Amino acid sequence: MINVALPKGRIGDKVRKIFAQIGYECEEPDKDDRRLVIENADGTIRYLLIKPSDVGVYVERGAADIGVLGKDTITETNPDIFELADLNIGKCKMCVCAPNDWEDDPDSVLRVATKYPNIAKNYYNSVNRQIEIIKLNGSIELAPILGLSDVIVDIVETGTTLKENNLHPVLPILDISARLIANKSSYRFKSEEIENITRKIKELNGI
Amino acid sequence: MESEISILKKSELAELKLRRLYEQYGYQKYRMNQFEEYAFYIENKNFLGSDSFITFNDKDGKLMALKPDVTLSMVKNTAADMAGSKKLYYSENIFRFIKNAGEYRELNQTGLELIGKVDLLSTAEIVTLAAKSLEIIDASYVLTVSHMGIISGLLEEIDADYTVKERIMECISEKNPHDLRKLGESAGIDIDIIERIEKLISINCLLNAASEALDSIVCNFTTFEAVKEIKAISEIMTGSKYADRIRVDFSSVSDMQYYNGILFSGYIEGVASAVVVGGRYDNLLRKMNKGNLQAIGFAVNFYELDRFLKEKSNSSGLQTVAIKYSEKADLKKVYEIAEKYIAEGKKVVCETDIPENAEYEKIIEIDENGEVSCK
Repeated sequence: MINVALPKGRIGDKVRKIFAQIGYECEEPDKDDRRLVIENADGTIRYLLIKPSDVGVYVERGAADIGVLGKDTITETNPDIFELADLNIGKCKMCVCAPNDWEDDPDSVLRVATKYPNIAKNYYNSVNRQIEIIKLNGSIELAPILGLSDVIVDIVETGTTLKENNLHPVLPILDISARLIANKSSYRFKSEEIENITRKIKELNGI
Repeated sequence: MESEISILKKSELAELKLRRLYEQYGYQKYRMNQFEEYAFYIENKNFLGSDSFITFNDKDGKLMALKPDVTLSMVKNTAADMAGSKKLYYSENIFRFIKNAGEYRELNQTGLELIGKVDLLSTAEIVTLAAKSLEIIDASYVLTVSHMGIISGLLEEIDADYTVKERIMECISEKNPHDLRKLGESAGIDIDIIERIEKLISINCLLNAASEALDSIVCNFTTFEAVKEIKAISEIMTGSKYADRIRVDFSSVSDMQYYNGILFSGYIEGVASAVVVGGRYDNLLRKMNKGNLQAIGFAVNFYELDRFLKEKSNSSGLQTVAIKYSEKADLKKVYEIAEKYIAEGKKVVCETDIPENAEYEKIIEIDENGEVSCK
């Protein structure tokens, strides 16, 4: 039995379809279904439906053997896990974004609003730029509009929200997609099943 | 003696068994101070993997730190030389910042170090001791073996700055071939080397079945010598009952400033992270001006193990007799009955009130008239 930590929501639904395609089909929960654990009929796989940002914790601590987690959360939280495959879904970019009329002043400390302080800090460290991090939990685009920050570091999918708030992406700093991750201890004791799943997912993606 | 042993917790018993095992192999107990100068630890923060220590000032104002590690002090104070190796083991409490707990913890670490001359036989012996240590803790275990020589040999072939090489090492430790491939493309690294590293990442097989996969990675003298060493250790261990628990897997990667040879990590089924970690660290001795001395060792971390072993054990193992007495009862009689059962080797609890769902081997009730009844 493999325990799979899946992010609740759109990505989780897509991942369940991928697992169904490689032979781990299980019943489709309906809209009113509030179960957080779903097991397939032959007892080979158990899906744990988890808040996306918690998937890494479940896998790192061995409550789940494998899981699916965005590269943004992996990079931000740096869990001690294996990253076995790129599922090529949920693709987007982490970007530095700024108001359309913004001009960088390299002589000043840059104020950066973000949900991802570690990613922002590591990026600006790598280019030797002094910054002040403003950690926010949502509506990041509002920060430069109200003068709370100079720029933001955030996920850009289509760019529509940015455009509607007179912002634009200045610089992509990280390619994001959903990744198959594994607990380091589970990988040793269930290596055949985990490697089998990894291989089939890669084959499905033509890798 | 058996009854004394029965009260030990599983982790305490495991620690004693480990000590006995290490003594059998000629290792001597090493005892150290609880603290060292802060500067000593901060100079070697990469070896420790942390720069967070519990610090305090001694009476002369010198900044000290509670020890976060034992190996560094052993190396610093070693009297070993190439003609007289030191085989030392320890079982000490150390003080570390635990990321998952978000605070400092005092935790037990038991381990051993061989400092002086390390040859193939002693390396095979240490690998066997790491496997035997895991076996003492639980029957379901795996020891993975890696080699820094292979990793550094592959990195020698790459003409890129250290940040790229660091990221390659991260990809190896994450078993992450997809980001490695992208990194190779963006940094203009020879595809042949990237493919060899991808092969390295994919290796996950028994030690005695790794020969062909290891040969496919060799690309220079450093990788050749490292592969030769793994094969020689495999050859020595052929037929050993531990050989089929040892897998070659290069996701164990350590800082090249300190580690230079074989590395290993041990896992117990049901414990989320490695419980045994060790390897060859001659480079640490170079860094600490210890001439040509060589060293290898490992530590068993009890932090994760404590909960695992607790869940597997049944309290103290002693059978318990409960004595429920009335406050008006003859207390001398209660005292005498309790002493009688203790002399028989039982665990005894005397209470005026005993919960209904409590489980005891026997419950003795003494009422206010001195009447004794048993359940």
